[in-house]
Amino acid sequence: MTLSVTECLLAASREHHDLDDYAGELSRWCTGCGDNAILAALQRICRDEQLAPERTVFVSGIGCSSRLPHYMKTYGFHGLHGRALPVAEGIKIRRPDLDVFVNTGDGDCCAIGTAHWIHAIRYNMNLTVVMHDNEVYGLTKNQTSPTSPRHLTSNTTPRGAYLEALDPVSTTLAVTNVSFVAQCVDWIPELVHDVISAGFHHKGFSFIRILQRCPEYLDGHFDQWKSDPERILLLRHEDGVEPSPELSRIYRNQIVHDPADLRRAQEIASDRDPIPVGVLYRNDDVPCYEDTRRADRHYGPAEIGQALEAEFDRFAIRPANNNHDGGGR
Amino acid sequence: MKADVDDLARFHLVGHRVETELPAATQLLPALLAPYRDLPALRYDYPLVLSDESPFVEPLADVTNRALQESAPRGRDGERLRQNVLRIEAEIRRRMADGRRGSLGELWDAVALRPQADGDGGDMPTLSLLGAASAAAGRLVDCDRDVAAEVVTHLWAATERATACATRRRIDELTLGLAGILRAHDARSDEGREPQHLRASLGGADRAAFDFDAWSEIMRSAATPPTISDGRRRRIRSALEVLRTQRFVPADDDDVDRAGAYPFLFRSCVAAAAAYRERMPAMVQLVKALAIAELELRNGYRESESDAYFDSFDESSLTADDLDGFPSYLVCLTDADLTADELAQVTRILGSDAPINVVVEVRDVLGEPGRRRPPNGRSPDAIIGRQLGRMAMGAGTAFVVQTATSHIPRMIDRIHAGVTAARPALFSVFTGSTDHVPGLAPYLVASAAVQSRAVPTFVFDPDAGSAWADRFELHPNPDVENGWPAGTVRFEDAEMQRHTEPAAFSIVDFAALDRRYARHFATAPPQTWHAGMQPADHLVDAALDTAELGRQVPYVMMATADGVVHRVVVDRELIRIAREYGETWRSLQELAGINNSHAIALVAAERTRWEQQVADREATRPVEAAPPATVPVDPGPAKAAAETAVPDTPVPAAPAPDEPYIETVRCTTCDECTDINPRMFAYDDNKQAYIADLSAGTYREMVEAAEACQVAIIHPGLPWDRAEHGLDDLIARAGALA
Repeated sequence: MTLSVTECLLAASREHHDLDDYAGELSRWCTGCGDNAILAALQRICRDEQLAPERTVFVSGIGCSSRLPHYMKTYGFHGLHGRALPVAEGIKIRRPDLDVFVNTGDGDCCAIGTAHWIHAIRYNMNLTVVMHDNEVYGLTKNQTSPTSPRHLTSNTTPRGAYLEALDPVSTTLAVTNVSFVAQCVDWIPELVHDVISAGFHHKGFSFIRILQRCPEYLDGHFDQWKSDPERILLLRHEDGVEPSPELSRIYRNQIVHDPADLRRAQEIASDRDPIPVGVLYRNDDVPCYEDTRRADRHYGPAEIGQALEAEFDRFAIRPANNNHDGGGR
Repeated sequence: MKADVDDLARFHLVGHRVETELPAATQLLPALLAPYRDLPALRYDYPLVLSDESPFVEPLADVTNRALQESAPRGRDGERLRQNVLRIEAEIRRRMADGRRGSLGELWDAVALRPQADGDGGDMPTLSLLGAASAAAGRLVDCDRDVAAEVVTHLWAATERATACATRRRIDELTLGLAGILRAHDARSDEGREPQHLRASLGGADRAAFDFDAWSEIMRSAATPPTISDGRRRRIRSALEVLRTQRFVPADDDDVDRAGAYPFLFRSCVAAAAAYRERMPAMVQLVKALAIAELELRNGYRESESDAYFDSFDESSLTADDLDGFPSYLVCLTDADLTADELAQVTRILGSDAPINVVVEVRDVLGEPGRRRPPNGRSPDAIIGRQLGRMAMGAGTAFVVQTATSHIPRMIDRIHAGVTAARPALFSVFTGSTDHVPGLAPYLVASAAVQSRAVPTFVFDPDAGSAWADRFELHPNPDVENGWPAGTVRFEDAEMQRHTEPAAFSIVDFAALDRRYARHFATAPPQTWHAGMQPADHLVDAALDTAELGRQVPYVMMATADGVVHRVVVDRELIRIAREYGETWRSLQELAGINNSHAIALVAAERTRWEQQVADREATRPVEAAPPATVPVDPGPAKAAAETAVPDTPVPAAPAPDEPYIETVRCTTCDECTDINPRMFAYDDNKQAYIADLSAGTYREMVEAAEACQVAIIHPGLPWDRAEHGLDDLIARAGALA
């Protein structure tokens, strides 16, 4: 195995990054918010993988979760509500060499951004998508979201939510070209790290739903699962995640689940109690859209200008011949 | 006077055939080969279809099989279609044997759309009807003298197209990236903030609305942003210049003529090697420019180290990875082209690391009979053609494929691997197309050469591993475990009684095809057949002592065009030649691990040692009922299971209950505890909380933090300062958290 000249020099000039090198502004999330655990896990992954900050992008939409790019000292794009995925796709198709993460929330992804979400799964671009699901709109102060449980009382549903919650994991598993689906809860930091890390290493659209506490508007909402490890079902597999002995000591309710088994993943995903956590599905063979649509060559501004001119010329009206005064010019 | 038994022995010993008594064997074919005489009537793996899509080279039979599998209905409904397609395929084969050439589409249509004679089956399907329209553009080639060069060139060109496309793309990307750096910095420079520059940056109609002087003034009043250094600008410009003027890949992927780009296809190794040397400085410059461009774009160019490195950048700095994207060279030769200079150059190329592929069409492997090998100068015979493959393997650095044209279809993937390998490659291919074998299709001659071990097929791939077992494949030779491939000849005698006689197809059978070797053969009339006659391959393999000479007469079974089987006696000289080929084959077998002499000696020695141990044990054993001795066996699954068993993982013990502690690995970084007392609680390298300084806080803060902790991982223990106020209440609250 030889290294190219570039790789040798890059290795020689590489700087080691500590976790603090990835820490941006001080977080403005509420104390006790589960988003902090996700942020810490993402910073750890950046450090563990020694991602170059200038070649890493965090893209988000709108919501509490979507403030995350501000707290990373990498490139970031705090986008429009529900539009994190199209922005991330645009970045990825133009710059497939960058590592692109997406942070989205239950409202951002499953309400206003649903169309983008479904098609992003189908495109299967190499993105690591972390869906912070606290089952409520927190930034706008307590409204029902698509994943809120039925009967949840909020500012928009004072008599309780009328509909059953949407299950983002089952939905994702049902979409064409799904290639990586995982679920986790924010109060098991080791697993949050390992699951996102597995998603990062998967080449394709990695959808990771993290159930996350909102101490402000849904205080105690996850307490029954948080306080009882038996109500967490840990999915372990060599192709998914393998929990540490320390974690296994606390979370004994475990099954071996092969992430290649889509049918079984769909069965497991439909359960809410106990909450299944780990990698539900992984298929490395689904082609990535950026590879399928990879242009044979790149075009510079001059070529693009030329192509545009040619296109505009098609709309120009010219006289049929010089002798004939056929107007329209 | 009729020939008798003694004439056979005499012929074998001295090689003189008295024409009137022992007839020549010139009109005969080896009995094992004779049934294939009418080749075009058989369905075999020629012609080949050369197409622009993977797998690039495919036998016509595979194309039609696939088309039928995909489009012909199962059962009787599809039977008619199948019959017609096979009929078209056979007709194409026949026309190609008559010299017709063209694309698959042309030949198919010429057959399928011709007026049908009555009872000819009618309704001949077109390729599009079969769903195989995409194959129509493929060019058909038959097993003739140039097929090896055509196939290798075709695979090489396909590989080169992909490589050039990828390299072109990389160069384009880097060019755009570098130009972008310059453009961005130019826009921020003083010149970039001049009014005329700002004016040029704005679209037509809106220009009137702007005062560019004022705009420029405002822009200039702002602090000058850091701009690019002169050194960096020079470096980028110079790299851009090299990228824009390089000639290794064409400027446009669609440019089939490769205008302005170097040619890489040669007819001589001397010319190819000279071109490689001549282009080396340009290659070094391009690799350097690519590396500088990538470092610039990946923010990895450190002037302190990189400048010095690139100042002394030369040929020796290039790595195999850097050369990967460059085109490889292809040289097409025949064995007749191998002059002393050319041969010396081939040897140098194969021992180098230059990606030069050499395909040699070998047209003669037997050579003139009776000529000794000269120690210097050009070999007059076919020695080079016969030995080139093994010589190349000796260099150890080149990818080597030796085969015959008949076996190309079975080795397409290996040939493809050879042209793709980033190292020199040799393809030594026997064409079977020779004037010395009249009246026999080149495919059959080539097949016979492989069958008889005259041309053993093999592949040597230095990238496949470090051991011979990984690198060397003796494939796809028939009956590879044995000396000569075994067959059976079936015939009837004059009394119409059926006979079956085992026969091997040896090098003697192959020599029987070659008219230069006719004098080594004599047909034995049936009345001279006797028990002392031995199949020739037996004698080739046997170590005969002098006393045996003359008692045993070697023969091969041969057949006339109308199927009459003869025994043909072989002279001693040919048996001697045949032994050389046998030796060569055995040494190849050893390399492939078949009957390896080292392994056999080792096993024998181990066996003796083990038997001695058993004997010693028996001798020293006290007199009692001894269990029977057994051969030691592999420890097998039991041992394997023991090795894979998961050891019990130690779980760290929980700290003592009266000491405060945090289960740090479970911390969710929610800031609750650090908000209460950031000196007592702190985050570690993983941004998870631990007790940094117990003395920096109170037991009350500890208990409050534990109560606030979202995941209940703070265990307050017992107070460390007994003087603290309100301890009873705090201890009770802490107890509820334990």
